[in-house]
Amino acid sequence: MTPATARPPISRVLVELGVIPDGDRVIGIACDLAAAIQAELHGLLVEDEALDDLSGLPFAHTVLPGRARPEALNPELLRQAYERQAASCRRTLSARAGGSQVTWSLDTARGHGTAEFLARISRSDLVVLQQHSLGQSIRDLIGQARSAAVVASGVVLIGRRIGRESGPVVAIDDGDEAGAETITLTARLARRLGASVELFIIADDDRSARRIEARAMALLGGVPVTAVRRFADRQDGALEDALGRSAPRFVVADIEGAPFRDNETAVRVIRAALAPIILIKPRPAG
Amino acid sequence: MTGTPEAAEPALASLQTERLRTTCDPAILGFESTAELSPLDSFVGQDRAIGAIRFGTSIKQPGFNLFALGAAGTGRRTAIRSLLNDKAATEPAPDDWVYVNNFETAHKPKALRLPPGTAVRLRDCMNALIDDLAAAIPALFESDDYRARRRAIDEEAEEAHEKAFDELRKKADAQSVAILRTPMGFALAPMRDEQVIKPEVFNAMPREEREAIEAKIAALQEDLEAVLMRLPMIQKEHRDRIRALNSELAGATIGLSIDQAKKDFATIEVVQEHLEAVRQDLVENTQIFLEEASAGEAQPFTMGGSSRQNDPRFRRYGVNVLVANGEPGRGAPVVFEEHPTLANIVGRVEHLSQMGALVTDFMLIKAGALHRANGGYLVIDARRLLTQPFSWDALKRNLGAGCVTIASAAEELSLLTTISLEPDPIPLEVKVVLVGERMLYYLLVSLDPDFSDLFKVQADFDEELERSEENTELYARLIATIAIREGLRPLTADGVARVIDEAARRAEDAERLSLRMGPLADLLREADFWSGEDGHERITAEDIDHAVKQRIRRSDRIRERSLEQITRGNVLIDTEGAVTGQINGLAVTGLGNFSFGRPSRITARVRMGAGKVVDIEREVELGGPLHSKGVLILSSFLSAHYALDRPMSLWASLVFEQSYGGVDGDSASSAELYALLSALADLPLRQDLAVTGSVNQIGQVQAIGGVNQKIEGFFDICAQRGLTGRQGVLIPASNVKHLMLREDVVAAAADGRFHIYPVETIDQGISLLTGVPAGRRGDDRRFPEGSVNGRVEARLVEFATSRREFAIRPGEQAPDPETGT
Repeated sequence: MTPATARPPISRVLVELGVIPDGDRVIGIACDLAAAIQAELHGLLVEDEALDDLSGLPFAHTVLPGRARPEALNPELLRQAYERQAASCRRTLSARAGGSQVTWSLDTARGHGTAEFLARISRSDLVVLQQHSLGQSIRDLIGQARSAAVVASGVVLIGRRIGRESGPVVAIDDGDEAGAETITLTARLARRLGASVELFIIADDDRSARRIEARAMALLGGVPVTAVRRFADRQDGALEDALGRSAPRFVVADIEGAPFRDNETAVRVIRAALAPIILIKPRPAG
Repeated sequence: MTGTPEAAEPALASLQTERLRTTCDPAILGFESTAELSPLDSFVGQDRAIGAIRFGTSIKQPGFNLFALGAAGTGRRTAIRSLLNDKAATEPAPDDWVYVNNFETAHKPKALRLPPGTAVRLRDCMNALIDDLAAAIPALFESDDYRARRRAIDEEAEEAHEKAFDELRKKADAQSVAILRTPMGFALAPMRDEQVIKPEVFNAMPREEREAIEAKIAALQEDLEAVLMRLPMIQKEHRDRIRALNSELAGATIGLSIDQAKKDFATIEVVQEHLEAVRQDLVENTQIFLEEASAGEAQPFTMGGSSRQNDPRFRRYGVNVLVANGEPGRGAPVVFEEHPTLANIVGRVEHLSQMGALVTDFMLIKAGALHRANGGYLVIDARRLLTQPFSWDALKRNLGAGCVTIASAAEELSLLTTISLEPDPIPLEVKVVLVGERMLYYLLVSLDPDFSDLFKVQADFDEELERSEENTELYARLIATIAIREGLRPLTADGVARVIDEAARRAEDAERLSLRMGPLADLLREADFWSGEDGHERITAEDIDHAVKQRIRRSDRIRERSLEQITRGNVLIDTEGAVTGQINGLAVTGLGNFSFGRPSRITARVRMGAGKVVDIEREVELGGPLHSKGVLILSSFLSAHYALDRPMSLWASLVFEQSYGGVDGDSASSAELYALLSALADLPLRQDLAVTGSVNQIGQVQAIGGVNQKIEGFFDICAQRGLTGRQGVLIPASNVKHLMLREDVVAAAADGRFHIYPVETIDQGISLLTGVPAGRRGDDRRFPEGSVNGRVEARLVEFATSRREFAIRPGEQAPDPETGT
């Protein structure tokens, strides 16, 4: 992992395809994003060395959700499972990315799970992370996202429950430089999806709100804006309720701005949105 | 005593002109123009059929359905339409029928019987109810209270989900065990120094330590299994709580709307029950109103207008109006089904293609003619019905069962593998009227055992009307009625008279008038056109003539070619002179709605033989059974009429010369007999005469069909070659009443240039054809010497003698030819 100095433009959407429960859906979302920002789509399969060690132990078993009995685990079964997983990911990538005219690639790496994945992130990456169906809380996901964002230009959080594949793209703009990038990405995404935009402005006074709105409207160009809502910073529950009403297809925001700067608010917002959340990291000043 | 020809047979006279065509005198009609006549409100000449229809439509017992039989164009449909419309207008409108969803068994939609005029109201009410709820319920769910409660439930579920795993993870951590994700699921791994213990390290451990690790892994594994098994229960509990919350919130609003709808249909029990079922289902499925907005956006093509009614989530509350009879003053329905396919008769269940699969629901049930006519009358063309696969059986089955059950052809053939429905059958009370030809009726009576039970009333439409003075007057009013109904010019009296003459000619009977309304109306329409072309204000006799001639002109290309073949000598027909064993027979060629007569040469050859008359047409299978019958009858006549004390020792052959297309009917049997007698008597037959008529075993000449066309066919040939004044046609005397000859033929006959001879017996005919008396047997049982019959008998005796001589063995004496001894 290389620390950031000046953030370059996003040129790659990186998605971890290890033990994700719904690869098809994640790849679909990653494809839409890659197409919208004209980036390459790169899938990474990490073969966890810890599992290699475990599979060599005589009592190693895998417990499957919904299965009554655990199944024995050994190195050969593990290898076959990795091969099946790689083949499945390749098919899905080919179908989804090929259909969207997106350049794609798939790598397999060996290492220590998440650590290996984080090590392969570069500064021009938009990293797609999905909450695992079991055993990973949204807090864990946010923690992983912050780790990824140390290097990456942005992260995409896909919660366990995603509402729908339609609806507007919601842009959350708090008026800083990253907010402008948020709006720019929102415009490209909305154009790509043929969706409308709802603009959520975080501002404590009318003047700031008008300034943010004017800038956002200029950056959105001709993209239809169906709603502009204003929220005060630290306004408990209002943003979550608005997201619930909007039923968005995507939410785009600044990872360091409101409301994602603190984990508790971020957890509530992710739960309320029921949509992939794209968090852009601001470019360092200077 | 030997008979004498003169005493036996008076000379046969040709018919007087007035007997060749019975014309209507315009003066007796009593009007100048049909504009003076009032239209008829009854059906001319169809009293029997009309009485049958009135009876059949009034009797209420089952099975008294009607079959209207008769030739096409006899006004069956017009009469049925008029009578049924009149009767239906006095009867009450039947109940409406709708199909609604069966919330308990979706594939068996419920049929609801509603008072007339209620179905559409119920449908609109349900649509409005859903529209109202679709607006009201999402608004309820927008409230902060609901959102807070919903978020609390979601978070509790999420936390329960995470808590279950967190507890296990902590427990595992405490025992230095990690929960790892694998590509297949979860695994528990023993840890040391934050690393999974490697196999070689594990294997190097003391046995007790290894067993301890295995034991704690096994115990944690059981805990992990329990957590994983509990998660679906947490999810289900979450869904149930959300549903309960939604129902609690929406129940009151739904209840208000349903109660309002129930008030609107307070007296209809089935609607009350259905609305209760709707209430229960809506409360259980409130979330569909919350999903609506986004689902609408996801669809690339929206169905214009009533998209909510087409939305699969709301269709279950719709009302499919199968039959609506609410129009005021409409009375009972009268349905004419012109395309009686199975689906059009009994209705059908349509399907929609969704993601490559065919799906359906109760809203896709479509009414058939039986549904639409239920409580009224259904009229179907019998031939069309019988030629549609499964339609006839389905009609019988439904009439027999007294209810309409929808079935598709695919189901009948067991071909359908997609989802389908079993809608409730609908009680059926309908009067079916089949319209068809007589042949179909009698075939059904004899071949279909169910037919007589289901169609007990026959309405037999006559094709002809007696040409009495009273009926002629009625017919004139009928013509006036058609002219008014069709918006044609009025007809002058002479125009009407000319139409009446044409009606008699169509009936092929001077004493009858055709009741085939279709051709009659066509004649009037065409005459109206020509009348307009000539700038007439009224349709005159000249216009009628013009229309008739133009119609013939349009149709007679083949007749002209046939005539040309004869006049150019390609087909050999003599119209003068006399030839032995050769005669001009007459045949009719039918070309759809046009037919014409033409002569055909028949020849006969005889010699000694074993008593056989060879019908060459039959031998080469060009002769039909009726023709063969005629030849056998004339053979029988010969056997029974001549040389009764001798074995028949004749071999004869008969043929229609230059006939290549087959011969049937017995109308040429008298001509064939004349040719045979000529050949036997060695007497030439006049070629300026043509002959038609069948003959029986005792030598009487019998009536045939198409007499007018046959006469005109020979007349045309003679006229082309030049009428000599000797030419003419021998027709059966019993056909004289059928004569409605063309005016040019009648004019030629009036001038003595053409003759029509009514013949009653073969003797009359052969005398005229040979110019030699036929001769009757005298007291000595012999025919006069030199008479035709005498010569025929002598020839047959001669054949018998010769044949016997052939049979005498050498040395035996020949028998006396007179006594036979």
